[in-house]
Amino acid sequence: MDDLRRIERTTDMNDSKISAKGVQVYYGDTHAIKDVSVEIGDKTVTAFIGPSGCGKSTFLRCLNRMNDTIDICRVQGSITMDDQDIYDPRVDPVQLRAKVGMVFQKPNPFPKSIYDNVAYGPKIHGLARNKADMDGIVEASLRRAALWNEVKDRLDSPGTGLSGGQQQRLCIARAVATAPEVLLMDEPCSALDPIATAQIEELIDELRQQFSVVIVTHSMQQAARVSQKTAFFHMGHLVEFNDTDQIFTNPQDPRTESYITGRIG
Amino acid sequence: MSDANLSGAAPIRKSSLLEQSALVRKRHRTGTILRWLGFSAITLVLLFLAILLWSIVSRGVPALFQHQAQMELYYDPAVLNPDGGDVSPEEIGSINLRTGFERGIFTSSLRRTLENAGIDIEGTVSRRWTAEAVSALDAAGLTGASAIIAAAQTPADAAKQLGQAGSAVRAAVAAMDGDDTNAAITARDAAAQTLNDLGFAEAADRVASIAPDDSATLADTGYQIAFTDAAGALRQPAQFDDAALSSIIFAKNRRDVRDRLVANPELVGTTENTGVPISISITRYLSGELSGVGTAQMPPGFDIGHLALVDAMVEAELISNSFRWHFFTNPYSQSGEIAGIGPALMGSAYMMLVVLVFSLVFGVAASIYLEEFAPKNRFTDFIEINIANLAAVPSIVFGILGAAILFTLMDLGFGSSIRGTALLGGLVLSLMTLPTIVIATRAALKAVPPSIADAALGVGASKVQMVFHHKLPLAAPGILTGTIIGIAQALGETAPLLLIGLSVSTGAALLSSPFSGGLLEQAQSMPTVVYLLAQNQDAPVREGLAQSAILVMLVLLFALNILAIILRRKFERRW
Repeated sequence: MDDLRRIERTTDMNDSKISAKGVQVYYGDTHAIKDVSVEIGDKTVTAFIGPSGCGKSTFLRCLNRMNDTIDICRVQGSITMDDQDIYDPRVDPVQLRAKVGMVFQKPNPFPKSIYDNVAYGPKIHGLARNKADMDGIVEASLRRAALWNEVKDRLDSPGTGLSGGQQQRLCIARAVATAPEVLLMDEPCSALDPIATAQIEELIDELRQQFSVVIVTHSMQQAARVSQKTAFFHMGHLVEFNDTDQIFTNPQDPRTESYITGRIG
Repeated sequence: MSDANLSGAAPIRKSSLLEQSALVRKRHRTGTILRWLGFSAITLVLLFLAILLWSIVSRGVPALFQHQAQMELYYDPAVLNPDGGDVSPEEIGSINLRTGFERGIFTSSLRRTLENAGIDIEGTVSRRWTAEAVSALDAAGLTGASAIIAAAQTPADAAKQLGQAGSAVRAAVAAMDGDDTNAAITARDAAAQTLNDLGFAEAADRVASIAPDDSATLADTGYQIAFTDAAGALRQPAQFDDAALSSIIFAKNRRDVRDRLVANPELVGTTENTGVPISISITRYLSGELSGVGTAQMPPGFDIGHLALVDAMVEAELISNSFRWHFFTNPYSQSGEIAGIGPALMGSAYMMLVVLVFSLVFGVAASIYLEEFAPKNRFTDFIEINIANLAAVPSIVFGILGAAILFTLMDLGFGSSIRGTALLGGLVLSLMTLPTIVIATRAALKAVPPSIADAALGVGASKVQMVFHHKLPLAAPGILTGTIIGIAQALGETAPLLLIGLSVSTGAALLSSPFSGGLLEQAQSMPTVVYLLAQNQDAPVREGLAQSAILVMLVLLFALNILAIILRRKFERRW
């Protein structure tokens, strides 16, 4: 954490992209998220940390309405993106998910070619008018995901044939190909080795130039390395939400302190 | 965990690693028993499978070959064109099949063929019958009969003499049975004299030595029966006429021959070398089934004269055993010589086409809806359970359903035309195949990893896009396998087809293309034809051709399964 980056942080702390107020999530009778309010800034990396089962992934999946696919899940409270309620009945989740991309814990490329993996999103959203357009989008996305140089000669080979780290970067390329405004990452490095993890983290830092990134992570070091804001979840509560260096150097809540010092979790 | 160790754990015992404890031995024993049980179960299954296959192949494969008489078929102008002059197709078409073609062409061609091969028909037949007479007399101890028969001027004379001897013996038995001793002695001596005159001196002495009141001993000699039989056998060759000759071959394809001549009148007067099927009873003889059978047990219309001729034909290499190609093109027939499975194969193929279209489309659509879109509530649960149960419903119930619908349609006046059609059969079979496909498709859809669905939804695919772009292609191998298993099941299904009239449908002609109305023609199907063949009156058909048809079905099923494996390999994707 050099001073340069800290300055960068403060300058980037501009307007809010997603604003959640009083969010409650129920899985059937289980109350999974209890009254969580968070402001996620634009062009910022926000990290959600906390022990397993604390609700951080559940909350992340509320932000692009992926929880809609679970029948027994109910979401209350308000989540707005650019001051528009994303749970408004008029909002089509399909359109929302084009704007809020998601990268999952386990690399999950489609069992198709590398090219088709990246081109799928733009194709269904009609972002490319012709083949040349699409080639451009695919190349730009793969470059943005720092994968282009490794795969440019084998775009037709299956995406599942790549290494774990490459697969995850392919998934990131796939997510950024639809030109989202927010990128949600659900423990994107938990299945990767340290070298691949470092590559992804570097990538996240670059992606921050264009997107608002929300990352769920188990690794406090990772949160400290990549994020500007950190939210600590515990037992469905948002315990503390603050600047990352504040959380790690001067936590306000005793539970946060216990967690980051390794006494709980 | 640490607390439990302190209080409840068993005391630590020192034991050697080199010897097994009782518990470990018991575990190993259980394992060994299970392994052997599994192994013997598999062995048993393989054994039964081998027996089944052997019984089908050992009967079905030989039945695919047919004995044929190699004949020079002479299209005799005297029969086909009795008026002379130009031959007109109409004239040929009007000639009676039985008298004109079967007798005039086939039988006389057979006679000509035999004569050309140097076989003396009357001589061969009468030699065999003479041998039969001699063996009958020999069996009763009347030795030297062949010389006596040869000494007679004609077989008929010999038959007359032997008949008289038989009568004399019968008269003696009757007289000795009576009270009048003198008459008995007279009759006995007369019989002895007759025998002596014929040349059976030994037998004459024997008859003369029997006490005059002992009719039972004379009857027990069996002379009377032997004489009667021998006389009968010697009279037989005279009855071996054209009708008898014609029953060696099976001239049912005379209609084809007539059609051919109508189409090509220029063939009249020419000779063609061709194979004509041997009749099924002769086939039985050739396969060794009738050897040692007496005249009384011969199939109707056959006697040992036929056998003598067939023996001579085999010796002259006029009978060949060639592949029964027509089995794959001819329609089913009562007569095993020409029975085939052609329309049945086509009918089954058409039905499978209908099954494929209906059950695949409806089955996959229903599964996708139930698996991906239907709300989970009591109603969909109910549907789900019923689909699973449908798979266990006996197939005949589907047949009843099909028949009920058919009869309702017939009552309404437009159903009789669909009775026994490939379309109706296919629809009933589709109903049966549907649950299999639904279950397989749902299992395949469930097996697609949820991460793929997440990925698709995550980039903003709609649910429909997610299902059709990602889940369905990944589930395709499973769906395909289920479909092929379902179709293979439907291919072998008999009961429902019997109920909706596919067994009685004539299906005489090959069906036309399914796209030009062939689906609405009367069809036969493989399993129903197997059923009919297995019910045939002739043992060679029941035990031979039925197995051949089963063999064809087995080959088809095998091919379908291979296809399933190939397609699965081809479309399988790993993730």
